[in-house]
Amino acid sequence: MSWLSNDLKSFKRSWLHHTGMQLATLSVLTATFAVVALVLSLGLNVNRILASWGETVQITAYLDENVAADKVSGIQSQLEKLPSVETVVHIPREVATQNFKSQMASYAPDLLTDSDFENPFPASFRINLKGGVHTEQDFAALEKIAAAVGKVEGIEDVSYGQTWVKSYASFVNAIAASGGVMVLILLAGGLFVVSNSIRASITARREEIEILELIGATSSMIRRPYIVEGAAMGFVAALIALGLCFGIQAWQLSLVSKNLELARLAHQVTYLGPALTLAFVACGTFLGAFGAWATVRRINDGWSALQRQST
Amino acid sequence: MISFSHVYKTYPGPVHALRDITVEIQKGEFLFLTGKSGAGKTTLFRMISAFDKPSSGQVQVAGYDLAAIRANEVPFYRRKIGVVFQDFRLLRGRSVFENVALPLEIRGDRVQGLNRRVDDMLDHVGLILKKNAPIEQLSGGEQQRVAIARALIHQPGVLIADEPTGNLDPQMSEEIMDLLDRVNAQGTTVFVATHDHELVRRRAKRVVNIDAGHLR
Ligand SMILES: Nc1ncnc2c1ncn2[C@@H]1O[C@H](COP(=O)(O)OP(=O)(O)OP(=O)(O)O)[C@@H](O)[C@H]1O
Ligand SMILES: [Mg+2]
Repeated sequence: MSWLSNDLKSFKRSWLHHTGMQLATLSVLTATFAVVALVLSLGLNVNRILASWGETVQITAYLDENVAADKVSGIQSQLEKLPSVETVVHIPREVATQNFKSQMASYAPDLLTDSDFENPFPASFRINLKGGVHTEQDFAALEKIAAAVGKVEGIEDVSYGQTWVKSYASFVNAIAASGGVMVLILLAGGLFVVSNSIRASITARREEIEILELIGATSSMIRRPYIVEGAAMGFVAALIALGLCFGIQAWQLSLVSKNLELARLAHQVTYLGPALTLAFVACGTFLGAFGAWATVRRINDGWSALQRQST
Repeated sequence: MISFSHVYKTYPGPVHALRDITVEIQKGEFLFLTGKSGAGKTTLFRMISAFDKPSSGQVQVAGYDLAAIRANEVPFYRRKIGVVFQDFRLLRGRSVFENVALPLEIRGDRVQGLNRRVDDMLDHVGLILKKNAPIEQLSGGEQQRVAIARALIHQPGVLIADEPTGNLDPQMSEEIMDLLDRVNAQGTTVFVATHDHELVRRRAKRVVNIDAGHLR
């Protein structure tokens, strides 16, 4: 008879003896894991969406009004030679005005027909960069390129949504940091719950532990069933939590996609991938096992019978 | 097989539970330990079962130096001895068979040989018909026989029993002593603590008496 089959029997006994406690632990652990999974998934999606915004950061270089028309292509090729620049598109005055008018059409229809409307827009270049802007370092690089663009002869002004990009970069950082802190707090709570439940199991089976010690079970033999119990609890909780998380996401997406304006957003949302799912279950199992281990390690030092056996 | 040499055990208080204990028990011997309540019998047995270490002196059992044994060696030492208690110490909620098989499982025996050995042992203690009964359904005498079977299943060289008949009526006590006699006849060293002087007198074995921590 292998000792492992004993672990499983012992696990079963432990369930039968305190089903209530075990169920309570399992639900708390499941809820904790579900929130962690949601935070993870949300963080992932926010990051992805923000990253796709970061990809679209552009530099607009406004041309000096007095630049002669035949110089424009020379300036353009000069800009294209700058490092990190991917494409440079020339936008003449008239096009800029047209763009503005069509964007404003729904807000101020009169504007389109107003003959008094003067053209305030200078000609410009729209510069797309290689890679995007996702971190504070990327932002520093962006500032450098913008400065280089500004030094080009004939460029009057450079704009790249300076403050917006800067706060965007720190926003991404803040989201990542607060998500991480929240997950850590939740995991600590999960650890506590598992360890509590295992402690109850141990107390309920104190006598059994003493007897096992008495007939020569090593402390690792005695600890193992509890670690298996903790691992099983973590495993099951992680599975249910993932199911819950997928369910909640699917439900929210179905709500969101009913709303036309948000439907486009719904397309960008993804679930945790297979690798992350596996990693999540593995981490849940590990957390359960670790919580149990930390508890038995303290309680069973191989001499627990010593404390009581005095008649 | 068991040897105590100038053993002292002092508990915080201070309680001098054992004082200058020196005794030698030969292989295959049957020895009674008598003494009033609080005299130090259990304390002495706890030295032998490695649940406690002497404050000073030497304890040697089955080739192990118990005054110096390391914690990770203790389980392996305990697999070489058999221990029986007044309160049986059986696992509740499990069958007679499961209780007796436990030391072999811990040792890692194969299922086949294990089944046969447990059956033989249950036959030996007269409990083969109760093999699958849960422990709770047995009488005190039957439970003590299960405990003895468990203490012997791995064929230890030494069996120590701390008041094995303390919770049993006189007739049951005699049956248990008969069983221990037979075990001893097969070569196991047996060391029994009891305060039942009648029982000791009828058996005509070597007896040591402990009084306030002193052997005499
Ligand atoms: N863990 C302990 N801490 C302090 N004192 C103890 C401890 N264990 C035993 N003692 C004391 O040591 C003395 C011997 O106790 P022991 O249990 O060995 O007696 P005993 O002969 O087994 O008695 P009984 O026949 O009642 O079982 C007693 O005075 C007891 O109070
Ligand atoms: Mg005693």
